Formats: sequence, structure tokens, C-alpha cells
Amino acid sequence: MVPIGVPVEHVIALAVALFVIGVLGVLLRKSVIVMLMSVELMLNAANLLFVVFAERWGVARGQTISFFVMAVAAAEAAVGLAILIGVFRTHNTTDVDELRDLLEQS
Amino acid sequence: MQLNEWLPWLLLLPLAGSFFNGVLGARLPKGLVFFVACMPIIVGAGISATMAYTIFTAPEVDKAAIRIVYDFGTWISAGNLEVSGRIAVDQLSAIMICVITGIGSLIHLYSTEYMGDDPSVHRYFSYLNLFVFSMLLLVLGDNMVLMFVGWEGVGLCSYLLIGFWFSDDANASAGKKAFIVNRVGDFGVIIGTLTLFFALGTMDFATMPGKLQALGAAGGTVALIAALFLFLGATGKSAQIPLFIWLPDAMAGPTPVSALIHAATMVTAGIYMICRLSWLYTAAPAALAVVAIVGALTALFAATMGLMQTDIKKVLAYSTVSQLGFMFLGVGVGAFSAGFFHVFTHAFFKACLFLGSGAVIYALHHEQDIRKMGGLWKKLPITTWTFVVSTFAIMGFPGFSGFFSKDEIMWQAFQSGLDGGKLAAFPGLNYLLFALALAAATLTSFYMWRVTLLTFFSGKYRGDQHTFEHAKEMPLMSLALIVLGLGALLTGFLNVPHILGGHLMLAQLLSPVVGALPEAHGDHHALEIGLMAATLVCSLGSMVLAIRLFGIKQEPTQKQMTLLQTLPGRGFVKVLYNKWYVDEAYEKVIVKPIERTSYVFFYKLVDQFLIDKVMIGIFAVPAKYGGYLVRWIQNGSLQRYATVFAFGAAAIVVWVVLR
Amino acid sequence: MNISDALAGMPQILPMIAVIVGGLVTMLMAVARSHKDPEHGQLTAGPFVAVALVSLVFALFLLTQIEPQAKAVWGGTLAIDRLSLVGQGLIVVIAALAISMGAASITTQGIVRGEYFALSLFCVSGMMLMVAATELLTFFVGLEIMSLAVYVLVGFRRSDRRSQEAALKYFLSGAFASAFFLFGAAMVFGATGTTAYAGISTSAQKLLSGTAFPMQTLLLVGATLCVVGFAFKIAAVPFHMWAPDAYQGAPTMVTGFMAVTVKAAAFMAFLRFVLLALGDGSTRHVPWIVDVLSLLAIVTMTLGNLSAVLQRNVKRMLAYSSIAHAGYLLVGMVGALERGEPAVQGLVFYLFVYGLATLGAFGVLIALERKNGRHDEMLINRFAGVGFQHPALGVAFAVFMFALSGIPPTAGFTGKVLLFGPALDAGHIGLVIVAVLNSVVSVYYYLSIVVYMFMKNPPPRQSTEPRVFSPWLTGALVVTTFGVLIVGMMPQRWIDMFAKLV
Repeated sequence: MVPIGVPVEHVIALAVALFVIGVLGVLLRKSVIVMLMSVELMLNAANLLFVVFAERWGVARGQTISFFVMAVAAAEAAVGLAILIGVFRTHNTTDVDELRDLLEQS
Repeated sequence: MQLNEWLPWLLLLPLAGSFFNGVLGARLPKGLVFFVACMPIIVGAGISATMAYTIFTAPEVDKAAIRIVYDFGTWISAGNLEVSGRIAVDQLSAIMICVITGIGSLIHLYSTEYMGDDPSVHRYFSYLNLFVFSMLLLVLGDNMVLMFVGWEGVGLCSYLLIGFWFSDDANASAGKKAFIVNRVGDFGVIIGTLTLFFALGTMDFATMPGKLQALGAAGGTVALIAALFLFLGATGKSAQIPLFIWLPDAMAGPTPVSALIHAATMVTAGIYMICRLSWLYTAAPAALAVVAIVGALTALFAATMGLMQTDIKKVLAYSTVSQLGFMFLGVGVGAFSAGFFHVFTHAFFKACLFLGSGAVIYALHHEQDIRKMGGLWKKLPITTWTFVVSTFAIMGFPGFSGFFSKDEIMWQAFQSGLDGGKLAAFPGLNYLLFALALAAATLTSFYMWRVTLLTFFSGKYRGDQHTFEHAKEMPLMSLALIVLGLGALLTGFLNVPHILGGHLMLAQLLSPVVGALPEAHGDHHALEIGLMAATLVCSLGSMVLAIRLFGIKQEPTQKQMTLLQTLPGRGFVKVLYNKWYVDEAYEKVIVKPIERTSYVFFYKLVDQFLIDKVMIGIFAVPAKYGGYLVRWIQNGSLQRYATVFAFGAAAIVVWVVLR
Repeated sequence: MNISDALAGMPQILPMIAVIVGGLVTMLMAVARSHKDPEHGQLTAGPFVAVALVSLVFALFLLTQIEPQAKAVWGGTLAIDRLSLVGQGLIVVIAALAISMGAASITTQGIVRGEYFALSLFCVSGMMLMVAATELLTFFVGLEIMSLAVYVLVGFRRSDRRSQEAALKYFLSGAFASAFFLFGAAMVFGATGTTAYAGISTSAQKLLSGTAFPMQTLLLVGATLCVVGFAFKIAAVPFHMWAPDAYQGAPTMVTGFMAVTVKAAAFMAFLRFVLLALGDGSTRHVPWIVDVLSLLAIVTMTLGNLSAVLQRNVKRMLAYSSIAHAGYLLVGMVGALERGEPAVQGLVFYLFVYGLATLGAFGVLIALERKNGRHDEMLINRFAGVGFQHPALGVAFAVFMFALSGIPPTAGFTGKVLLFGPALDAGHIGLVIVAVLNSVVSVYYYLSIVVYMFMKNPPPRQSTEPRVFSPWLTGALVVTTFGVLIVGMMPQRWIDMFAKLV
């Protein structure tokens, strides 16, 4: 079981809280960069769970996964920023509300 | 070479012809195109005749079991789904293939003259051959899936041929209408077929009846569900209430197409299917009653619509719908062979009528309005007399083919309610059915004589004199008319009832497939004769009335002509002229909502039309509110998308956890 | 896992390596080329397509050489069973066709960069990893390899506002969905102590039969979030909203690629997850999953089709059509859970058919795009009279539309029979009736394009800019058209090819 002194429920609660903050960030903030950062927060919430449960189950896989996730997050950020630059070139903004060319026409 | 080895050629020749003309036709001389198009069908007619001869002359002991079978091998096999590629000829399909290839050959020959000048005639023949292939597949297929493939194929060809002159927008939309209405019907066929498959575990016609019997009591429910869904499909293909609206519009296609597809063959596919599955319908008496009621109602309803039409082809189209109603009435009272007999005779006289109208239209350079015709018998004698013969046949004049087939249906409808009849469980229904059929028959005689007289007689020609002078008949077209006219005259003698000294030969030949004709208990000879006489009196009465109104030698009086011109504007006649506003209703109930213009109408509908609640349920409401919803959600804002995503995910999680 | 294990598993990843090498070669070629012709580099697509096809064909050859076996390799992370090999083969074949079609756009659309091929090939390697993965992390890595490449491809038309907008929308919602998936995976890991599908299945059966409160809930929530992640990639309602915008905004060649290969890969990975992690590989499974999938299927089909009816833009219409097809495929997946083998066979068969037909339809769109044409809007009136101007394209398009609406003798009909059959067999009658009704509705919009093509006169004023002939596109169109017809008329060989997948 968990060798550290924190009950596993608390860790889950923390991870869920982080995740929800991330979700709210994506839903509410208008700047694409902040939205990207919120996604990173969501990924880190997942990472936290992986690490803690790896500890709990006593398997190394959880920790390994968190490294993979970090790598993936970095790749994602790189691609995301590149796309954002493309958007900035054509739209001159990073506000998602300005990106409304594609929608259901009536 | 065994006889059954000819069977694949029956299918492959038209397919090859279609492919050849479709791919190469544009670069070939017309003569070769005609040859390639007609030969497969004529050879097919020879093969069909040989097979029919073999089957019908088989020794008495083999009669029940004789089938000519060819197996292409397993077509689809996956899990417990096993579909064979087997085609088979039995008594029922033998007659059908003879009709398809026989009348098909005549219509191909006719088309070489009628369509000869069209620049894309190769495309026309390519479609027409493909149609013959699909129709043959429909009747030869030995399981539900092959039949369905043919069923879809004929629908596709019909759609292509209706829209053949696509430069005209109206034609294109008529083709589309036909196709979409038929898809609603196909939905019924798919559900019905799947029901049968999962209840019975097979789709082979040969083994299904036994499996149904093995189900015992549950079999009745299965049969009812499957029979009703399949009948929905039949109403689509065979133009019955509520899905008949496409057929009159289908007249936009070339006239030979109307003769072959929309009179003689494709539209009878629904009746063929019910005959093929007669064991299923027999197991579900309620479904049979539905078939009979829908058939009788359609017969009358379409006949009233035919009364006031001024387009010669439209009259014939409503007449077809009405006659198909008679056929459904026949099969609906359990007299499958009587219904099928009418398919057979109708194929001849209605094809003859359509080709006759085509000859008129050809001679008058695409004039279709009967108000501008008259007196054509001088110029088009062969057309006139074959048309008159067919009119006698369709009104049921004694001795002509329609007399035997229609009276058999009407007698069967009446006796179905007598003691021991098929519909004895529904008391009084037989009187209603007979009354509807009698009214329809009376009207039929009137509107058919109306169109015949106004076209060919009624004094002098009422249109442009120059056109009249140059009107002429063409040799191959006349040949087709004469052969079909003889058919209209003679085919009735194949199935003379006992009461007139015959012995219902066709019914006996078909009995291995569809069962014997139902017979009520007791002796009803006097009743049968009486009803026959009553029907005859009514038909003759309306024939006389039509002659009085429209005249043979003498022209209609000025008053009658003005009446004819202005009638469409007034009262009930206006309703009839506008075909009970059914097209308008469908336009408003189904078509418009799909195209998003239904907002205002939707409220009108509640006041005015409650015709087809099912249709509304399927299309209008979801399309309207769905449209709002989709536009509201899909507004281009990424954050709205993410919100929907998050709430969707949350909803599913909550649902999974709490359930 | 040790070295000998890794060596033993080496042959199984060779196909993926072949594809990656192909991608690297095309990338180097692109760099070399751009040095030569930096300004308006009219580069010819030929050498790129050739290299891409060689690597894909070689990968396909390698796949056929691998002997399927039940035991997963690489420490239990990669399956080499028939589902994995056939699935990878299917993706390779469809991707080869899609990449060939894209070659035409290189010249017509002025997208003068060879990276298109490199990214497509990397994307394919990610898909192959996804399909073979038997473990959550491996799947996730494959998913990201694929997704990151696709995001870039969507935004490939750098100067076009819509393309950029589509890329950003797809990227952000994709990253968002990935986070949901990963969080779900973490919860599943927390509840079961493993990320391998087989292990999850064993623990799940145990946990769900007991009443251990926190762990059971954790598992349920986690697995559901994973399902949501998959549902996003296959564009199931309500996680579909990125799809119409991304499909419309992306260059047509990329839309075709996405609509087919991404969907096929995500579906097969989803299938493996559902069958192996939430079930025991045969017909036993956790009870709630059938309800979730049925619900998703019904909503997806219905909303997809009704929205498609409303569209005037053909690309957007095809986007909704592909959403509707995700719904049909979900019906098949319900069947697969309940009936096992025949349904899996039907599902993969349908994916194949859907792939050919959809790809073909997009191929025709590509063929209709004009050189230097402003990012063609592809409204439906654009199709008026196309049937007589380009009869071959018209007929091919009609064939694809018939296939997508499931009309015989095209393969779409056979596919639908095989797809819906098992679900009906398992007693999901309502579900199948909704599916059949939906395919009836779908005829309306598929057919309306055909009507425009063949039954309306072309508009009088048309761009005189010639279309660009591309042998690669023509070849791919011929293959897809005849494929749809031949598979429809002689389905047995193909059905057999997809037999015994589980």
C-alpha cells in the first residue's frame, strides 16, 4: 500500500481538481496560449495519478508512463505553437473567438 | 447442353448488351446499337418460352416439384448468414420471364423507331437492357437477397429512364421522386427480410415455409410483422396508397419505358413478391386483409383521379395504379393466382395502350393533350383498333382478356367473406371490397372510353391541321401494337372460370407455387353469374354514357367542349382534376421539410393534412428542430464545441456510474 | 522485457519501420528539392509518390510475411494476431490510395512542399501502432504520432484562413480529448494496476462483480473517459463537433485521408480496446458498455444524417456522412460485443468498403478542383452538369454515392447486411431499425449530388482553367471505383479475408 502518508483518496481528489481547473481553462479563457497551458494542466493531472498509483501498486510502469506523457506533451506544445503561428499570420490574433469562419451556415 | 445451362445466358446476355452499348455505343452506327440491344431480349424470349414449355408440359407426377435451377455458387457466407447465388425457374417465374422477355422484345423493337432519332439512344438502350437484366434477376432469384438486388436494380433503372431527358428539370425531379419514394418502400423490404432471416434463419424461398411452420404459434406474429413490412415495400414499387405518387410523375420518361416498366413489368413486382411469399401471407390473415383493403381503395381512388386528366399518358398512369389495386385486391383475398392472372393480362393490354399512346404522341410530334386530338382513326388505323381492343379488355367486355381476369378477382373478393372464405374472420369486409371494386370498374370503363373517344374519334381533329396531315404509323411500332392487341384479345382464355365452361387452367398451373384458389363452401353459381352481370351492366352503362358525352362520328357539342375546357376550374371536378391534391400534400408534407422550407407550412399542416403521420415523424420534425439545434451548437466557436464535449463526457460518466 | 525478447519482436515492427524510413526519405527529398527551387518550386509529385508507394507496398509485403500468433510481443504491448495484421494491411492499402490522390493537389493547389508525403507516412506509422497496441500507453503514443501529423496536414495550406482555423480547432479539441483519454487511462491504471488490455479485463471482471466502492467507481469513470477519447477520434456525437469544420477547412486531399484512414485506425483500436479490455475477447463484456455504444450509435447516426441533409457544401456534407457512418459502425461494434467473430468480420469489411467509397468520393472532388482556383468552396451547384462534362468522373462519383447509401450491387449493400446483421441477431431490434431508417434518409443527400451531376445543366459561366491530369489520381480512382463494384458483386473472397479476426 501507499508508503507515503497521504491517503489515496486525497490524491485522487487533487488530480480531479487539477483536471477540472484545466477543463475550465479550456472552456473559458479566450487566449489560445492559455488554453494550451490548460491542456497541459489536464495532462499533468493524469501524470499525477499515474505516479501515485505506480507507487501504490508497486509497479514501475506508472512512472515510465509519466515520462512518455511529458514527451508527448512537449511534442504537442511544439506542434500547437507552430499551428498558432500559422493562425497568427492569417488572422493577426490568438483569440479563439475570432476564428469563426467555419460554421454551420443557415 | 442441359436446359438449366441456358439459364445464366438469360441473365448475362442483357447485361452484356447493356455494358456494350453503355461503353461503346456512342461510337457505333445506330444499326449495330439496335441489334446489340434487341438480340439479347429476343434470344431471351426464346429461352424463356422453351423453359415455360418444359415446365408446363411436364408429366403430371412431376408438376409439383419441377424447377429449372442454376447455381452460381455461394454468394455471401459470413457467420450464420448464407446467401446462395442460385436462380430458378418454377411455374410462377416461368410466366414472369415470358412476359418480361416477350413484351420486352416488342418494346425494344418499338423503341428502335420511337427513340431512333435521339442522339443518346445508346444510353437509352443500355439502361433498358440493364432493366431487363434486373427484372429477370428479381423473378429468378431463389432467395430474398437476390430478389432484393433485382428489386433495387429495377428501381435504379426506372430512375435513370424517367430522368432520361434530363435537360428538363421536371423530369429530373420526377426521377428523383420515384427513387426516394421507392427507398421508403425499400426500408420496409429490408426490415421484412431481416425479420424473416432472424426468425427463420434462412432466406431461401425453398426452405422458408417449412421453418415458419416449425415455429408454431410464434410463426403467426413473425409472419404478420414480416408480411406488413414487405407490403410497405410492395406499395412503393407497385404504386399503391400511400406511396403511389411517383408513378404519374414517372410518365415524364419515354413512352416505351412507361409501357415496359411502369405498366407491364416493374410495377407488378410487388404482386410477384406477395405471390412468391404466398405461404407467408396465408399465415397472416390480418396482413392479407390490409393488402385487400389497400388494393381496393387504391383501385377506386386512382380511378377517380383518372377521370379528369387531359394528358393521355397521365390517364393511363392512373389507370395503371387503379389496375394494380385490383391485383392487390386479388392477392389480398387469398386468390393469388387470380391476382397474378390480372398481372398477366394487364401486361398485354396496358402495354398496348401505352404503346398506342406513344404512337399517337410520335405521330403528332409530342402532343399529349387529348383536348387537342380527335378523329385520328383516319390517319392511324392500326393504332386506333388495337387501342380500342385494349380498351374493351380493360373495361372487361366479355370475351376480352380483362373480362376474365377482373371478374375472377371481383368474384374472389366477394366470396372471401362467405362461409369458409379467407376473410370470413372479418364479417362484412367482402361487401365493402366488392363495392369499391365495382365502383372502380365502372369508373374505369368511363375514363378509358373518354380517352379513347377524345383521342381517336369525337368527330374531327381539334389541333393543328398541318400536323394531322403528316401523321403516320411506323412498321415496327405497328407490329408491336398488333401482337399486343392480339394478346389483349386472347390471353383471357388461359383462365376461363368453371362457370363459363372453362377449368381455370392458369390457376391450376400455378397451384404448386401459390396454392389452389380458395373456394367457399356451398353452391354459389347463381350468385357468381349475378355479380358478373351486375359488373357488366355498370361497365357498359358508363361506356354508353361516355359515347353519349364525347361522340364517335359527331363532335362533342360546343357546350360539351366548353365544359371540358372549363371543368377543371370548378367544385369537386377541380379536386379530381388536381388528383385530390395528393401531390401537393406530399410536396408539402415530405419534400419541403427536407429542404428546410417547412416552418410556416408545418402549422398549416396541423389544420389541413394529417395524411401521413409516419412521414412527418420521420422527416419533418427532426429536420426542423434538428436544423435549429445543429446551427445553434455548430456556431463555429471552438469553446462551444469543447463545452458540448465536456458536458457530453460528464453526462455519460454520470450515467454509467449511477446506473 | 529483455534483449532477446526485443530481438524476437523485431520482425513484427519492421512494417512500421519501413513506413517511417519512407517518411524520412521523402522528408530529405523535400529539403533537397527546396534548395534547388526556393521561390515557386513547381516540384513534380512523381518521385515523392513513388517513394511513398514503395515503402507502403514493402510494408504490406512484410505484413503478409508475418505469421499471426496469439501472444503479444514487445513485453505484451503489440499484438500480432490476425486483427492486427489485417488491420494494418487495410490501413496501408487505403493510405497508399489516399496519398496517390493527394499528388494531384500538389500542383493544382499550389501546395509545393514535399513534407506532405513525409507527414502522411509518419501518420500511417502511428496508425499501425494504434491498431496493433494491446496496452493503453502504446495506443496513446500511436494516437499522438498520428494526430500530431494530421493537425499539421490540416493546416497545410499556409496562406488560407480556413485551413489555419481548421487546424487550430482540430488541434485544440484533439489535445483536449487526448487529455480526457489519458486521465481515464490513469484512473483505469489506478483501479487495476496495469495498462495492458488483458490485465484490465481480468481485474475489471473481478472489481465489477464485487462492491469495492472507490476502486470500482474509479474503473468505471476511467474506462468511460477512455471510451470518450475513442469516440472523439471516430467523430461520434456529441464528440464530433470538430469534424465538420476540420473537414471543410482542410485541403481536400487531407480531408479524404482523414475521413478514411484516421477513422479506420481509431475504429480498429477502439474495437480492440472494447473487446479485450472491457470484455474477454469473446462475447463476455462489462454490461454497461453495450448501452453506452448503442446510445452513441443512435445519436451519431441520426444527428449525422439529419445535419447532412441540411448541407449545401459537399465537403461538409461528406463530413456529416462520415459522422453518420461512425454511427453505423458503432452498431456493428455492439454486434461485435454480443456476437464476436461474424460481427468483427462485418465491421472490418464495412470499414474497408467505407474507406474505398469515401476515398473515391474525395478523389473526385480533388479531380474537380482547378488550378489556382481559390480554395474551392465545393458547393453543390458546382456539380451541375459535371456528369456530361466529365462522364467518367460522374459515373465514378455515382458509384461511390450508391455505395455509401448501401444500394446494391455496390459493396455498400453487402457491407450493411454484414454490419447490421449480428446486432439484430443479438436482439437489438430497435437499434437496427434506427440504422436502416437512417440509411434511407441518407439516400436523399447522396442522391441529390448525383442528380446535380446528371440531371442539371452546367452553369453557363465556368472557369476555363484546365483541370490538371494526374496519372496517380486517375489510377487511384480506377482502383476505388472497380473495388467498390467488384467487392459488391463478388464479396466472398473479401469477406473471407476478414474472417477469423478474433
